[in-house]
Amino acid sequence: MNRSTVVGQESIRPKSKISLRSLTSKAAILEVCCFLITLLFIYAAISKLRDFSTFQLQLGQSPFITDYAVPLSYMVPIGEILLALMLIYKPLRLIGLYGSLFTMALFTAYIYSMLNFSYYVPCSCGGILNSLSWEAHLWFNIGFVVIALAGIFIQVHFKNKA
Amino acid sequence: MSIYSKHIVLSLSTITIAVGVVAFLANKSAGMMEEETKFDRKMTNINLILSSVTPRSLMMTAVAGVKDNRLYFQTVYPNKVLVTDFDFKNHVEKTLNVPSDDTTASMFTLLLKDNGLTIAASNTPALFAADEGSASTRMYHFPQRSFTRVVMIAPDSYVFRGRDTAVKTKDQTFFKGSPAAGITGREDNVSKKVGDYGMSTDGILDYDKTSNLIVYVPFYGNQFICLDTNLHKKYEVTTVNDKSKEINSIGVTDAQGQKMVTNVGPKRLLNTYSNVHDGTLYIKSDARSQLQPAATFANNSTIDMYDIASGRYKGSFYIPDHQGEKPFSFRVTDQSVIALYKSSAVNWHINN
Repeated sequence: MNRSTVVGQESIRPKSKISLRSLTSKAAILEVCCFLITLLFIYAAISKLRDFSTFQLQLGQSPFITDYAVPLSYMVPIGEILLALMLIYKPLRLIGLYGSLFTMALFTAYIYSMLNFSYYVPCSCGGILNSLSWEAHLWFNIGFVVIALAGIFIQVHFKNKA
Repeated sequence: MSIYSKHIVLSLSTITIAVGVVAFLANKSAGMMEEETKFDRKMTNINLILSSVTPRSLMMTAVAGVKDNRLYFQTVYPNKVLVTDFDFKNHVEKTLNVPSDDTTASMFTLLLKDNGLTIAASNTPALFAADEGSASTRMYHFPQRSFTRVVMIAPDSYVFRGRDTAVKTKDQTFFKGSPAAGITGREDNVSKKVGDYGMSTDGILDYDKTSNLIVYVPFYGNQFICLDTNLHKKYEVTTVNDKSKEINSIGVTDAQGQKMVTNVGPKRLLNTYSNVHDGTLYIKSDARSQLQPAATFANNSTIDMYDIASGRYKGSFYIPDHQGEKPFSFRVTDQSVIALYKSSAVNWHINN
């Protein structure tokens, strides 16, 4: 009985250490995920707002969204800033991650559709991403969909633990 | 349902909604395209049979023409001309004494004449004339302002589309002249006055020796213009794909800190390429008619033929895709259609 307890205690102690380490690394991964998405959205919003007329023009050139170019040209950068703020403000982080997932999935589906179903593909976007081809942009966005998904499940894991 | 299952469902739903939104927008856009198919086109029994094919030299940009049964290809370099026979054999690369700086290379046209070649450099602007068999050229600073399109209507006599120095306008117009005589003729109210420096009316200018007429086919519009060599408008014809609406609209924006004229809507090229041969105008159309099967249209390029003298539509035929690629340039000759694709040059034999 005593032996088994000791054995039991020995087997629990190392596990709890691993679990603590695991929690710490999960927290770090979550922070990295949120940081990357926040950085992307802030950067994307600033580059859109800095050259707003070009951004609005490029939206208008897209066959899919030409009719909605004006409202979208305001909604997209504002939405990106709001999502970035949600990711920074921890109580709203999960909503922010879902918003990011939706936005990145939307952008990914949009690029895929443009490449495969559109009769005209306009210039991609401003800033550093301007140097990426549409195909590279597609993979870049898929990467951020995965990051957002990872962020959601780690965040849920923490909420569950709490 | 566990908390994780709930969030898996939520995540998948989020992605599905995002994809659904894009699918709706893409479908709406496709619906607009279908509206364009409500016209008829008469497919003729002209079939093209593959005669010869060669990997495209990356230098080739257009089939400039045929002279002495030899094909002349314009290249990306203003000082290089590729010449082959109709089987793409006996390949000769001619080097001309023409500057290959960025300004000259940015836009130029190779013109063939009986006793030599002319390189018309749009942005220099200048004409470089080379005699047959000679690499040396004579440079003429003509015309004085840059131009976008040029054809040769007689030895050393040219028709241009560009900004005319003598006319105060924000549009491009047609004018003609020669280095020796200067500008000798101007159009009389032929070009549309849009004030966009000719962008929305950009197209392809050609001269047909058989009818002695000049044709101008805009990329975005659903009509073409025919002029005589005195630049009087002979007629303006609505092309067979006349139900296609002009979606493209041009606007001025101060993008990237400078004023620029560009398309403010999706660029929709309707008549994407054209050339003339023996009294017939050949226009590559990007609009599908209601009788054309979608798959056939997708795997071929539709060429509409018009009689240049009258403007009458004669029928259409297909240039097939080659190795999944569409031709970006073609030239019709007596018995062949020479087409340039991204990775190959193909001689299609015309089989009536």
